[in-house]
Amino acid sequence: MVNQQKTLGVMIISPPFGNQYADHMCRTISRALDKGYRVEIFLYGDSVHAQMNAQRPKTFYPVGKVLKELIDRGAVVYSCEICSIARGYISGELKDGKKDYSSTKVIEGVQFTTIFGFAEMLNRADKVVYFGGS
Amino acid sequence: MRLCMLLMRTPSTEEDNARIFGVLGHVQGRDVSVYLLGDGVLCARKRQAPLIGGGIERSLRSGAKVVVGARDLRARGVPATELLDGLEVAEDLEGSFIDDAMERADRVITW
Repeated sequence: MVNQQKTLGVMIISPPFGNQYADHMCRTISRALDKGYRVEIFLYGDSVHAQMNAQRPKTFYPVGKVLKELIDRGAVVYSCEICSIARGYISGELKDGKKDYSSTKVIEGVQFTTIFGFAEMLNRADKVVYFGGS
Repeated sequence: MRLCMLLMRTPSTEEDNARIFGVLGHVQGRDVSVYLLGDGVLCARKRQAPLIGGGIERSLRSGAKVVVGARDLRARGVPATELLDGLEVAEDLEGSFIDDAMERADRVITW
């Protein structure tokens, strides 16, 4: 019997298309959502490229499209603020007293946070799975 | 303690092999499950050099449950006849892993 309240935490550091870690992550999260678990994802390092809007892979697994579908199904996607600023997705500069996370380059629904947000995610998760490697 | 491991890469060196499967040496085989996904399915082939990718064979001998993804086997052209004896082939590898990781395992390790 599945506990509907349990949360799966996921961290990924590998970019889409260079290897299959993002594909594996998306498929695994999809099955977790099918089974009624809450899912929170943290994109870190080069994996923030998964959040890029309007990806057009002709033959590769469509990571951006699937990530958006996972968000629409209830997955919470956090992206590392510093990693995203470094790669030009957001400015992160103060605007009216708040950091500017607006961007046309990012899939709708992605939330930005710091590594401290990742620590909070770890606290909420019942289990944590990591995707990435050399 | 029940340990659940998700392996997505080939332990192609002795160092990798020791690092990845060394942790299993401290756990009773019957309390271990290993899920092979993506390139990890290549660890399930027979006749690998003992110190290169031999961790799965040792895990099976010690009583671990080893599950390998059918989709990734097909993608890599690995027929069932080339697999180690005693492992399970799953069409829904991710679903089986989620069930185990979320409901049965005390610890989850991914490589």
